[in-house]
Amino acid sequence: MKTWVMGIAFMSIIMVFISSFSSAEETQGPLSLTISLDKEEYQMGEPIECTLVLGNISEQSLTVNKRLLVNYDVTFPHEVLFEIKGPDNKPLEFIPIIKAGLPEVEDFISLLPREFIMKIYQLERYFSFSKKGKYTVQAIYENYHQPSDLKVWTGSIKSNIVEIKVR
Amino acid sequence: MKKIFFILIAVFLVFLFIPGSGASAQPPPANKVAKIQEAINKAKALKTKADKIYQQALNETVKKFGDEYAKAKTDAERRKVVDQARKFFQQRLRTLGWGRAKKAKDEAFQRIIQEVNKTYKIDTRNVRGEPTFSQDVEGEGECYPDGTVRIGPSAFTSPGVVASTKKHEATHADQAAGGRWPRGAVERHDAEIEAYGKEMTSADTVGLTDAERNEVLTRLRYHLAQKKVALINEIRSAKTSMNNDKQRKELDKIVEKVRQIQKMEQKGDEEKAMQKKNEAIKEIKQLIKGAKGRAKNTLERLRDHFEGLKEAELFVMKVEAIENLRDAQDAPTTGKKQKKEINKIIGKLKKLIEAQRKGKEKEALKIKKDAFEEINELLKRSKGSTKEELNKAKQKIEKLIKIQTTLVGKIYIPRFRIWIGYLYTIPYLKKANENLSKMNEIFNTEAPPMEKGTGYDVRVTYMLTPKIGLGAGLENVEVEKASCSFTEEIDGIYIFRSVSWETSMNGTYAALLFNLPGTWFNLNFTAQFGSYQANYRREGREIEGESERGELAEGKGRGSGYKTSLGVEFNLSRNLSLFIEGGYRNLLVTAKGDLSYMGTEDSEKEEIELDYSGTEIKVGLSGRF
Repeated sequence: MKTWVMGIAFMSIIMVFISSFSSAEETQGPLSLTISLDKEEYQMGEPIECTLVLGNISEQSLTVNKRLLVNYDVTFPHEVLFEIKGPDNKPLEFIPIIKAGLPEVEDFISLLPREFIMKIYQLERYFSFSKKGKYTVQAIYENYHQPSDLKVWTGSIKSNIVEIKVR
Repeated sequence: MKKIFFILIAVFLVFLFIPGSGASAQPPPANKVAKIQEAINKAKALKTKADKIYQQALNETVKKFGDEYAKAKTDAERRKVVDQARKFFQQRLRTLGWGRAKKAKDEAFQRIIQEVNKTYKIDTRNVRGEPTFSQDVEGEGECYPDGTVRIGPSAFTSPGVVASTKKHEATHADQAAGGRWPRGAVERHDAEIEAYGKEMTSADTVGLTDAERNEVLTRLRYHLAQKKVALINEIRSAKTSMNNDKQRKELDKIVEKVRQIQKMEQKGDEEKAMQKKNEAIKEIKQLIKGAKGRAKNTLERLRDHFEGLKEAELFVMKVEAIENLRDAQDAPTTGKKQKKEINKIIGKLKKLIEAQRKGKEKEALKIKKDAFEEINELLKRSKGSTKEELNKAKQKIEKLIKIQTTLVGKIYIPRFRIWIGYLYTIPYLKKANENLSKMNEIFNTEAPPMEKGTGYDVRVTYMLTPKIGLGAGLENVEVEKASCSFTEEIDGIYIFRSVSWETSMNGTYAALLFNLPGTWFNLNFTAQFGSYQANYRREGREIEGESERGELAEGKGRGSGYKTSLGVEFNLSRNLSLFIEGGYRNLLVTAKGDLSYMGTEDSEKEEIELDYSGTEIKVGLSGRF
């Protein structure tokens, strides 16, 4: 019995350590990505407005890709990807085909500490919210392009998850 | 009658102006393009004005909420700040008059889209309504499955780019209308390859600049490369649909193959990469045989992706070859005439793309072969950077031909050549003519010496290289018969005298051919060595009343000889030429014969030297197959 208790306690400590380590990695990065939808409930066919904010929460200036192009998946030119799950918990398929190239030097800006960039997306343009029920929305910001002579933030961060209802 | 004439004229004009029919499409007049460019500049100025307002509103928002956002500890707190920031931002936009500025800018861009429609006459039959300008489009354009097209501000760099973007989006609308709207990342890359390909092939008709064309080509290559990444992802996720571990392990091997393909292509070894793709397809086909249900469907889809990848690869190679030809055209060392010729080849490659898109493989192979030969011809007359770029295009087409061979089996490359000729020869036949003189003396005749022969020559050559060939042939020569016969009356007695000498030869030979091909004619040097059989027959006769005397000899012999000749072929078509050849033959045959004397039982053996050496001329037709 004693061994059992000791085992469970040991496992708990490890789990707490792992979870605190991973969450620290997500929240303590120099950039923060937040999304917010204009409403919690929508009528079917109603515009769904999603505001995305990419903020520099560090004490240093960062050069970031400000283009915020949304696309199908990682194999296409993009900075933003949306992961939206429908009432059946299946991911929604991105609809349009986007004609875009890779980002250019003009797409990179210096973001001072406590500055952010913001973009508003009409999600119904990219995804079909054709089923009634609950949807979860999460955004991912990625940049792996490094124009020469520029020290650019590269990596991938996920936003908070927002739940909405379509009636 | 007059009515019919006008109808015919009208039909002709309609055909002339339908895009893709009649003469090749040309870029619109410079003055119209300049007018659109002017409108673009004005619209951009309006955009700058609107952007300034937008930026001001954003700056104010950042200033107001930046600290709060950075200090927020939780997601919920940040979300709250974002909500407030959005409201503030939208309010500031309204206050600063962004709506009016945006409207003015949007209308200006929309008018440009309309103007481009009129000027460039792009086929947008499957686009739903008119493409609309949208500030929110981050790229140049977006297309939806219902054919709706939105054009973004990035497309408005030049009238050509707007037109090209419309062409691109119209291609997606066509894909949707044809039931080919992509499912999944791999198919999306295919759709992009097709659309960027359309942009490339119409780059000259919309007047894209070199830099703009390079950007399109870069994107085309990007999607081809990314398609393989997407394919790896799809194969990995396909593992969950498999029936057993064996199938899953096989899929791992196929992933490894795609990685090898990527490496091979990076090294420029497209042929090996194509073989690897074929191997992967074979393995997937094997897996399909043992698969059931969902696994089978998934594997069939993967097989189709690999087939599509091969097609895409070949397509991009063709587009790159067109680009090399365009660069050759623009090279300072390219003459006016060469430019025209290159233009024709570009036209051919465009036709090739179209033919393969329609699955007309036979036609495609012919075009490819023609283009290859034409580039080869041009290369002979080119120098400097023209030669360099033409060489690049040639190498690409050569690769395409080789790859196509592995894809659709043996293709038609003319390696064999056949000559059929009539020959005229002046053989020495010294000993034979001496013998004829003797007979003339014996029979008191005056048969002229044998001086000429005629015959035929058929030769087949296999070209080891475009310049060197090995072959075999057969020849036949009939020497003009020397004869003399007459009846004379001496003292009331009629005496009939007759002498004849005839000989012929035939044989087979091996030949070595050196060929210098040209556009209008080819020069050939041939050396042949063969074994020949020569026959002869001679007869002398004198009939005086009841008495008759004479001799008859027949014989044959074998000998070997050689011939060297120089020839010119005049090309009547790609596969047929008229040729004339002149040469010298060395052939001495010792013929053994039986000589019998008429009216007696006597006979004896004899040997006669038949010297077929001498000059000869040959004319005929030659073909390549």
